[in-house]
Amino acid sequence: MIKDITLGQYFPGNSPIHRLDPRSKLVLVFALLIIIFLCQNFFSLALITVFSVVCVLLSRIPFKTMMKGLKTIVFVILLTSILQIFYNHEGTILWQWHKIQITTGGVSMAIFITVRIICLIFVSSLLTYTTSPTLLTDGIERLLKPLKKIHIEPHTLAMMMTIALRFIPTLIEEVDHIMAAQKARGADLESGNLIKRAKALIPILIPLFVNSFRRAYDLAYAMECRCYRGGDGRTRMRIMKLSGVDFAAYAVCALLLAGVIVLNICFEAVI
Amino acid sequence: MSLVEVKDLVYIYGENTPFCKTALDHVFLTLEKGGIKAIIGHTGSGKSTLIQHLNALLTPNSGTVYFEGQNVNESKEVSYQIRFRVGLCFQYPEYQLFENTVYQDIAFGPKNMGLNEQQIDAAVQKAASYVGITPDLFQQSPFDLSGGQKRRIAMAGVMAMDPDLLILDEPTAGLDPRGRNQILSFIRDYKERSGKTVLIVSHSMDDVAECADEVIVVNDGKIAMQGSVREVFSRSEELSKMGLTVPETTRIIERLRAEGYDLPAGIFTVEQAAQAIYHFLKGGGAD
Repeated sequence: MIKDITLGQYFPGNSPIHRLDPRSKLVLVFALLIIIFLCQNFFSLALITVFSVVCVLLSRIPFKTMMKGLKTIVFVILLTSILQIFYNHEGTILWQWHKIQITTGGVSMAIFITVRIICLIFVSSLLTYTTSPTLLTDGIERLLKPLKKIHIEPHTLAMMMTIALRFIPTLIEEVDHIMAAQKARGADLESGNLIKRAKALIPILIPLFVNSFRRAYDLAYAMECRCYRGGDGRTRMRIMKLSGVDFAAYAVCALLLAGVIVLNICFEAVI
Repeated sequence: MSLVEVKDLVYIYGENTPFCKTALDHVFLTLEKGGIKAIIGHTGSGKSTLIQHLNALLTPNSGTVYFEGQNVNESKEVSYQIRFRVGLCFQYPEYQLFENTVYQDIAFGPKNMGLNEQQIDAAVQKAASYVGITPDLFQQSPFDLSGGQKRRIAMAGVMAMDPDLLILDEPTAGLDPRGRNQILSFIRDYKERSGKTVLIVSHSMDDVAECADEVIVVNDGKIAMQGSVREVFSRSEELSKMGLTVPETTRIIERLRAEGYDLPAGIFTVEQAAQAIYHFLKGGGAD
């Protein structure tokens, strides 16, 4: 039913991308997102696209899985490209009907934006596909360490995130279960107007909340029983250390940034 | 006409994904009207999937489910109406309560059926009496009650729809012996008083031995056996191959018989065992 949410699904593996330090991955993905937005023409975009595809191939994540991640945003892609096609009136006219016209500018803009969105999704979903949620939050925790100076506890934030991620599949399963149970009592979730449908959600949301609170209490007790007292003085089983792969990845991204800037200067911008 | 008829039912979870799994593999099953029936099978055998087809919560990949001759998946409307006639109470139903008061929660099903105020009231009163919920609890919040009470209220919520077939998925799961005995006696009581057919899903052989008339064994997405308690439990070797065991009492008596004690075969409950041992000690030999 709602089981096809791929966001945050870890795909275990041992590729160079999997082996990157989670801190490096976070920093690099952030850098790559900026680099993607820096692209101003098809040449720099092509460079970035090739790079993204190479990354996907390197990670050995099946292409099908990557495509599934795109499915959820197909609507966004379609909407933006359609808007571009009809509202961009630059270049020569390809087709016209009354006031509606499609121009070469519009079409190329639509293609440009579509490719850009796909690159963005590929790069950012690679992060979650190749990093287990625990490692990811560990990485975030380490990166946010300076925040301690202004009395924000990165450990607490990271723990919250870990717990939240951990319970998403559990909650999805629970929703499925509660829905089935209420349907068995004749709850009608599919028909009626908006208000009626919103009301029909009450029998699902209330048990979900109640059960979540119950789970939260259980979890808190269990953590306390194991003497959890927050991040102070906690050591780690896995000590993060940057290795050769990380430095190589930094170098590649630096070169990529340089390449994009050079191509941006050499060729005319389209955006 | 049989109450339920399942014909060549196939159900595959996650079809066309790498995780696809055939949960039900060409299942044929006929249930006659009346009595308490039990479906047993170990975890993942497909028993929960099977019962969700009986009230059209799941749509089969192929095959048909008939309830009193009516194809339950014929149309959306039929599927919706069938849920009132085949009452399904899931495992741990206490986690599905949501209303402000016990009364309102039990009334949720009858209300969805479109009954009027008076009919709803009658249905709630009757259902509550089946599971020993007294009217003084009606105005309390279901969340303030004990686990056992919550479960009984949730069961009443399904019984209130007055279904022709009541399906209970693991009704005794997670209960202490006292709570378990209570639930089992309420189920027997319900069957006697309402005269409706009850189907229990369980992996506890002792529960099944204690209250069922007919047993259906599900294994690996198929119906492995169907018959009376005596018939099914006499095939203990086959059962243990499926990861199931005969009731503890039966095992003890079988061991005693193997040791040379002259006790009768086909003993499934503690009462029967006590009787047999009493006879043995008193008179020496089976009667």
